[in-house]
Amino acid sequence: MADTIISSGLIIDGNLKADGSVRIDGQVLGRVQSSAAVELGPTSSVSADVQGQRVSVAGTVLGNVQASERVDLLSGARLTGDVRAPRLTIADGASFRGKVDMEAGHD
Amino acid sequence: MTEERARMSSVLGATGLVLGNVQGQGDFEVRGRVQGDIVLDGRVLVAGGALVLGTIEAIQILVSGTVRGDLIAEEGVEITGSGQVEGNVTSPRVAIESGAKVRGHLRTGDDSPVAVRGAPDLRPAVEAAPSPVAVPPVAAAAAPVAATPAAAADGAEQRAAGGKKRRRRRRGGDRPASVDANGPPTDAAGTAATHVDEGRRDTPPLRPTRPSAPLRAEGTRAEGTRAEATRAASTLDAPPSSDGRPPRKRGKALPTFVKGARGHLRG
Repeated sequence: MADTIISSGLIIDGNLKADGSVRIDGQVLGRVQSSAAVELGPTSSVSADVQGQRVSVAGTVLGNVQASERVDLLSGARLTGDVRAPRLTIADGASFRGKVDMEAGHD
Repeated sequence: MTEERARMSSVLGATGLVLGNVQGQGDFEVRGRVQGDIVLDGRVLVAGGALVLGTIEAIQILVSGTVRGDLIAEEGVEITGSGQVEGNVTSPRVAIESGAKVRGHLRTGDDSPVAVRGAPDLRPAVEAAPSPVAVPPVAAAAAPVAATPAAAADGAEQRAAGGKKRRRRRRGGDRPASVDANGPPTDAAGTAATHVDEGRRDTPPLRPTRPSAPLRAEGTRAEGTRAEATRAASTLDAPPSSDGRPPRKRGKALPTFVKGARGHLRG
């Protein structure tokens, strides 16, 4: 289980930063930053950049997603923003609008 | 650990930092740090080691960590022994455990502006800290005696006694005005914290009682004052003393704060 859990119904009007893993089912109206895994559940909504080691998106993101390892856009994900990560998967049913940068060397 | 998390639906991990406000529904456990206000339709737990810099508004608030900001709870606030609060606390029920540090206004009871849901009184839970030894009748009656006659005796002894004497008079004079006479709003709240606080306040006047013996030498005037004061004691001091406050060691066992003239609690 993730160190930090923002369950549905909770709204963070600001930035969230953690060294541990983060699971979000609620809403974050600011940046999400973690040095471990970031999981954005189906009911989640993040309206700014997301940064992590591994980022999996099943909810809505309006911002850039950056990961040092990989980004997974799961079915039902809606991402409007750029992705920067060495690995990227986009599942069937995911919606994505933005650029992809998979070049190594950044973060 | 897992059970705790199952209880609290949202958790901010120990390394977590929120820069901004948190709002919405559900329970929220803070183990990390929140720099912003938390307004929740649910419970908020500030775990040990956690830090919240901002106001917390919720149904229930439990503080084991540090909060620099106001606490406003619809049902209850509990501050455990490791908790530290620098801010005003407003809730129908407030429990402050021994060892907790609180600094700020405390507003409890039915007149608090938040909704009251007829919850049971928490007084026993907190008063468990001091042993419920009954105040000796003499001490109870004599406490206010120290107030009035001390002032009367000052005319005769003020010069000789010097600074100590003056301090005594000030204490004696302050007490009836701020606690006994104007006390009702706070006393009526009848909460644990208020009583704890009152205990601390009552302690100083008990000590001057013995030195004030010379009063008798003053004769009828002192006797008259004393009789009045004793009568006053029976009316004014009756409710507090019936709570079974122990006479002396209470001050040490309880959370260390003193209610100042403007209602501030100091940790």
